[in-house]
Amino acid sequence: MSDDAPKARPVRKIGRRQPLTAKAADAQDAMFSRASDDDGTHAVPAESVDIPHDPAQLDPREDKFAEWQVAACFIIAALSAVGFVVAYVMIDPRAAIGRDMNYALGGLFTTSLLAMGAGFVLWAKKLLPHDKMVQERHDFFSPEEEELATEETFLKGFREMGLGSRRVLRRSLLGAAALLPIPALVLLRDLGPLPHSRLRHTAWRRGSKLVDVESKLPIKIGDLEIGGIATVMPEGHEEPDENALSPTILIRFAPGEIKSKKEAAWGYHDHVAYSKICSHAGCPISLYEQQTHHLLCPCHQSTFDMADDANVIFGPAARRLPQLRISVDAEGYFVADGDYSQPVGPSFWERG
Amino acid sequence: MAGMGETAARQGLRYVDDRFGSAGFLRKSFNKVFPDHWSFLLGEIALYSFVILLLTGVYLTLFFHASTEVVTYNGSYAPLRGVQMTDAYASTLHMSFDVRGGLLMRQIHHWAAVLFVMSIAVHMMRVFFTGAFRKPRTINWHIGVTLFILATLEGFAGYSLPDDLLSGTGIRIAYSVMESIPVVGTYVAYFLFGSDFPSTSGDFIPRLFIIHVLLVPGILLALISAHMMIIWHQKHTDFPGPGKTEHNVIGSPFYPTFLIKTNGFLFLVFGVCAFLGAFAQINPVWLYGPYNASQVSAGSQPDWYIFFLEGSLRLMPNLESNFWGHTISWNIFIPGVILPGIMFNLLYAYPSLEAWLTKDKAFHNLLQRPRDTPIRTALGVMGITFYGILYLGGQNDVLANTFHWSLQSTTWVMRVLIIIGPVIAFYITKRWALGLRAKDEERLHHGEETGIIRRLPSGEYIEVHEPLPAQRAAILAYQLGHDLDEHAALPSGNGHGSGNGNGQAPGMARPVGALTRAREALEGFFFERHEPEAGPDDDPKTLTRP
Repeated sequence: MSDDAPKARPVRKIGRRQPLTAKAADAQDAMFSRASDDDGTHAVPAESVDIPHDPAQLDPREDKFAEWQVAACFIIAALSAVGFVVAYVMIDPRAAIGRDMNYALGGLFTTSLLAMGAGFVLWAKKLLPHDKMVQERHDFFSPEEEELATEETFLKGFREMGLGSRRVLRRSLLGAAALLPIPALVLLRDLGPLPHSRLRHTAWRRGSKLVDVESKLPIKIGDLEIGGIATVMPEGHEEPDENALSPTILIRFAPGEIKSKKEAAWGYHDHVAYSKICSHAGCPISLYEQQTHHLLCPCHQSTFDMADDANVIFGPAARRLPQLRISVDAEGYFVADGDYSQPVGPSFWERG
Repeated sequence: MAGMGETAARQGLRYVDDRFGSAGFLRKSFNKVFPDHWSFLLGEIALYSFVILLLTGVYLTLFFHASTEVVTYNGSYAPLRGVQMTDAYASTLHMSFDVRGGLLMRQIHHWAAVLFVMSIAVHMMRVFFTGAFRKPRTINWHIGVTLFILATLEGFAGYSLPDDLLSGTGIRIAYSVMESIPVVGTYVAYFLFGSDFPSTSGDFIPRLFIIHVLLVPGILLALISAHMMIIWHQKHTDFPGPGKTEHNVIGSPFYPTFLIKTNGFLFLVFGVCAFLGAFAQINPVWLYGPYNASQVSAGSQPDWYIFFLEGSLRLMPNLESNFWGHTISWNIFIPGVILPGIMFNLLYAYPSLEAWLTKDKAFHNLLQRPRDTPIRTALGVMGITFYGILYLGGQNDVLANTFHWSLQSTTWVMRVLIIIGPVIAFYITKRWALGLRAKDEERLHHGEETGIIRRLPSGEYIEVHEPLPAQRAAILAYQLGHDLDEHAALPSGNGHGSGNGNGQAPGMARPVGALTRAREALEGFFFERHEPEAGPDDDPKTLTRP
């Protein structure tokens, strides 16, 4: 133990210091008469480390009051626990679950927990001795001879194994250790299907009707107002969750608004269809500004100019949205001319 | 009555000792001294939020169905009745609206998760800025960084489970981040999800569930136990103070004082989470609706600890390379994989980097104030600023919408800020810390200002300074890195300046190489603080009170 640490037992000084109450003195005596240990743990008076005593430790009336404060906290905690059960049974769950029930149960649960916590904290703060304990820290490293002996033991053991001198043994062991994990990796193979070309295709086929996801009806020419927009799925594959790459948006422009010749050619009479899956991180793009023809992805704010072949005008997306070539069948329904000509959605290594 | 209780207690202790020989260990544990400082409670908040997460989480597993089977909802929540949804989402609605107290437990669980990651982050800052990570506590710092990463992953896995529209959007982005990894990305995504996105094969939610309730919590529990056992073994650090040295600990004994205090704190943390769970709505999945691959809502926002990734994805310029039939999506791979990799590796490496640059091989048990190490503090604030700008970048649309800024300029301002902000933060923090040190030097040498103005016979006016009390002066001198042997209150061996190279085995001197030369070049950067301040001692205008 270092010499500079305070180690005196409290000497009851005569002076301005107020004497402790009988209970506080008893607690202090118990603390100071603890048996020490191999860390040399011992108590030091609060004064020696600049810690004041609580008034409850100096005045018997304050002490009594503090004890009742702590008890009051514990009583509140107990009553709230009872209240919790009453609320659980009494409140009609069908009428009020998720609202009144949550407030009542949660409020009473909160009260009992906070009261319990406050009781413990007040107990420690007001009634337990404020004197401190000191103990030694030990070095975290071992004596040199100890370290050397352990190093020797380790190295000798290595020599016993003979790994240094037996070359065939060592090499065959390394070979086995390198190959043994491979079966474990092979076992992971069936975690999922191989991607093959799945990311390159969607459910769109030549002649697939464009079905509105809201109304579940195929869209006919004239169904969309000028400036209108619809999210569509290929007929027969209308469930977006099973065809996550297929969601497509159909936009109707006013005549002459489309700037790109290719865009107009792939569309039909000012109607164009583009993939709804963002070419950045794959979110379904949903914010269309009719005046500017900008389509904005709410996930990372990539913005595409839909009048200019979905050119990226802002944000982290690196590629235009792929366009779906459409036409109209004999009955006037919009149909796809085939699948997208390039993979839709976010980039991946094999995309090329 | 006391006699009966005492006999029973003695018998109990004797029973255990007869089987483990535990008397010495137990007495030492009862006596274990825990120093007092408010900032030491931050780690306790993290620990207790974890306890709350385990308790409420077990309750939630009793009702949650980790299944993507499509069902038709017909529970109490009228607006979604008759809607087709996965069983995962339906069971989340069921536990929220048809299990009494279920919503409360769900909300407490979510709030505790938010608090868990946040308290780990703030606790890490405390450890960083006070130098508590230094030898011999380096390994515990590494465990702590791992806990922070795992807590983030655990939180993400947890809020992705209900399969609502918001969580599905997060999963969609995570899938794209996996796809962006060169060479293996597509396979990683397919094998982890068991299929294309979203997982119609039905494997993904059960896999995520077992990761969330068993795999990651198991690792967290093991690492938290190791973290605590190391603290117990090495004893807690403390700030310099009266009677405190590198070789002792002063504080409350574990039993009973610390036990009662910390017990109270557990209940208070739990109480705060319960209060939030009762009165502050969090993740109202019933408002988002079930996941649908063709929909997304504007202002989709993850939990706070994912914001920095969201921000890095949003701020990244749109780079992509195509060559030899392959694509590298830099606009996702850099912000989504490389950047977090660099950030967390820097956190892991920092203690070793600092020890290497400062040649500090000494043991440290006393903490430093942020101003005592201006460069470290400035580097820390630099890192926090970088993280903070990414965090704000994750809500550029919400900021632009709230303050009626242009979305484009908001993003561009942040793209610039992410580069220059940390540099400015570094400079300001360093100057600030150096200024505080200069002020401390002045107090040490001139004493405290008293406000008393005295007129000298020559007619000159001076302010009287009162010297600091000897002990206070000794502590301050120690904190400022002076070797003051005359003040016995704090012995040397403090690691300031001279590293004593404890534990250096013989024959391990390093050859001079490129690394050593690099270190020598960088050393000036760290030791700038040792430049002498203006010598105040010979100032003739200073008078001290007799």
